Amino acid sequence: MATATARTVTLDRLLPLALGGACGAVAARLGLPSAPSLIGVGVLLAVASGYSSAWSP
Amino acid sequence: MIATITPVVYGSRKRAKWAVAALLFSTAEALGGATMGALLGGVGWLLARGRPLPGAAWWALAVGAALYALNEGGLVKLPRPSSPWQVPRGWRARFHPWRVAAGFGWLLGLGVLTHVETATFYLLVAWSVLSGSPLTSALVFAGFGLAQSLAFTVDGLRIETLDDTRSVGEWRLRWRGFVHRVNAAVLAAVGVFVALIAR
Repeated sequence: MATATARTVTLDRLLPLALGGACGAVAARLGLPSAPSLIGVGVLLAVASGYSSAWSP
Repeated sequence: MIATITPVVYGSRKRAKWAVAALLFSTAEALGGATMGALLGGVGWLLARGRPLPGAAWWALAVGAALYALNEGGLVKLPRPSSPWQVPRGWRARFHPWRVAAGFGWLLGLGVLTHVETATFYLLVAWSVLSGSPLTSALVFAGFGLAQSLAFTVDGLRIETLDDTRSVGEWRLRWRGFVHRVNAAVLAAVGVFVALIAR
């Protein structure tokens, strides 16, 4: 029971990392020029961190 | 945080007043973000002296994103500098609500003065310095303020009473873990993406 729970917790934590990493690899494969891509990275970070800030206690 | 913001920004039941307060709040958030972005981009510009930063700098960003993805996913512990300061509640009694909405918006838009909820913010700060451009960084960091104000505006549409504020706060608490998982995914994506294109 404890092992199954630990496995679920680990999966719960690893799955977002695997999904995110796969998305990053696919996006890099699309071959966009690096300068606009890096601006896109900034926009993604800004939107994700900004929207998530509202979850601050 | 929502209990402090909503009485000012969304306390009025009259939708016209609410709309003005929300607009002021969102505009000030974007300006606060742009201010911080311009400062950080200016630091990057001074460090690079106008020349493009070496690829190693972007590699460092990729490594940072990967490490903080693990941290955000709850797998490793890393330093998470954050300020315990909060927007001054006293302003609510001293100033007109619209002025307070604008003031709160600008302070929150800066991002660094208040609690940092997700590690994604640290990478945004690093990205802003690495961009080496005050203008680009200001525009991108304004997105931080706008996204934050959007979340509060969505809340504002649901909030009319103090009980509503409480229930939205509880709802946010229930989904907090999920938000951190999403940020872990974003950081992992950024880490892999930047590592691959910075080669």
